[in-house]
Amino acid sequence: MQKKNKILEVNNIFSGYGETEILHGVSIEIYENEIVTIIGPNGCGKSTLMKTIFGLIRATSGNIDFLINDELTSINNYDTENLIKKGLSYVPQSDNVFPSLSIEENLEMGSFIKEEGMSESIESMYDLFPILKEKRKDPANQLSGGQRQMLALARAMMLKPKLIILDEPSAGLAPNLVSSVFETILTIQKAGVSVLIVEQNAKAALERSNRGYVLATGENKVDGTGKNLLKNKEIASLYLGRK
Amino acid sequence: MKVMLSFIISLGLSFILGVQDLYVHGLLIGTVFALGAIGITLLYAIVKFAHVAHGDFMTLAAYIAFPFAVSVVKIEYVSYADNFSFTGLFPLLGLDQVGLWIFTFGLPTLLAIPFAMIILASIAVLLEIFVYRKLRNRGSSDVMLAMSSFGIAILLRGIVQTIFGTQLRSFDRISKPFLDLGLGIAVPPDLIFLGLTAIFLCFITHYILQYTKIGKSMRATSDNPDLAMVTGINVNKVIINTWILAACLAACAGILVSIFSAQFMPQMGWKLLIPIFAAVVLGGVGNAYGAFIGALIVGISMEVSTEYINPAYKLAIAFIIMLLVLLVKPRGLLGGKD
Repeated sequence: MQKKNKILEVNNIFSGYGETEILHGVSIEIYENEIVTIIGPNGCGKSTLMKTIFGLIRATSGNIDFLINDELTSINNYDTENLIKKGLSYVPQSDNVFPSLSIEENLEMGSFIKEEGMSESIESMYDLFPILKEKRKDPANQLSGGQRQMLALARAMMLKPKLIILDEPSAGLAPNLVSSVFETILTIQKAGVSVLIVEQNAKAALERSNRGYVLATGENKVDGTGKNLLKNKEIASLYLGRK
Repeated sequence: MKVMLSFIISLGLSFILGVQDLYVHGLLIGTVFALGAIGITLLYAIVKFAHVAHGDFMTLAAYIAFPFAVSVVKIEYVSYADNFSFTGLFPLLGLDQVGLWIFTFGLPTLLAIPFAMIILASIAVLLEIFVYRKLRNRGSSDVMLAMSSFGIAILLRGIVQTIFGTQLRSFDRISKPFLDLGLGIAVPPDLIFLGLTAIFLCFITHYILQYTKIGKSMRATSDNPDLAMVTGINVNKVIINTWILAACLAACAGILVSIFSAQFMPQMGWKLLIPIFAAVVLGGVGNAYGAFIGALIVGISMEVSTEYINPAYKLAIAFIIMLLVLLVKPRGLLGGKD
């Protein structure tokens, strides 16, 4: 594998809610055009990590660097709007579309902070996900679960981000839809975007990831390529439910 | 469309019952309820609480317009003997015409409307920044916010009473005959002006909500505030926009009602709150289109009821509608937010 640019570097961060510290020194790295999965048991701090990267919670110490103008720059104190402008995008776990807005309006909201190039972006999303074009005038609450995830991802893609953070994209979906969601994620990767996934459904995610991290009690436990993690006996027994 | 069909059927029924005159009156009065109801329902959808001070916003707008539009502005403090009067701003500038075309009012009253809108919207924004936002950031529940708006309502009315006194006021006007529309329908010309203006404003609101960036961000925030935030929508800005829109509609409603009823007093808006809330509940709380239709139904029901019962009880009709909706169809006709 050729050497790629690092686009996100999270270095030894501590974070939590108020007095409660949840992350005790987590470090991850993401390279260009890579799918990275974070797995770990409930309460290990996966969601906290995402929120901290996306500026919804402030890290108490440690560094978060993001590739801005070809240079890793600290984004610790960036607000959400700024992070979106610099090419970071976030898709929450559930309720990740605007139900009463039409599909087209949902996509418009994706480029709310920067309107130039909006119609081209919408067209390219329709090329990527033709089903959305068919239903462009329908409100998003008429979409199926899988189509909603598709729309949520498309919305996150509107400003051509460098990195999309996905919080449990397969949560609450029927098993046969899970693979279609991961197909969508691979489509996004092909479009040149890196994806950071936090998943309970570790197997499905790791199979399609370039690399993965295992968190436990707010710290890094293991990391490696997705395939190696899947083979790892300890992880298999702890998090993948296999003996 | 179901709505159009029920409208035509009910209109036909009113002719059969011989109450078409009251029906049209109610329809036109309903449009002005709609201006208030749309504001309350949007505030509920986006700021997430029942804005009880909305009626007093309307009253305040009439009193804000007063010194702009009226030729003799009498200031009568409640507690001071040295009352005084002065000439209103527009009459001072030579605009003192009354009885524009077929209407009772003149240009000064109309010109005062945009000024009242701007001032009331500024007051609403200041209240948002210094009261409601502070309470929200402190984690106050929506009940606390509603109660605090109740306090604001009393405060605003108190301010109005302290400055202008409690007596009836009116904009400069001359009497004009009713307009005979044929088919046994005769309405005061001001009521037609009120209805057309209110419908025009509702249409503008519809346009803003459906086709502008500001309106879309309002609908998105109402749908899912957390997602709106991570999409980069500045939720606080959206809330400010909502206050501005709601206050402008309320200002216009307050002045239109004052023109139509030929008088106003500090309790005016407070009394309007019952039919307006009934309209909001009937249409489905949080649904602007529901609020519009709800307001028309409440207006028509209240006016038509006066054919059969003492007009003094027409407010009770609004109450009964609200109670019935809450019992039978709590999400309202068009379905509201939970």
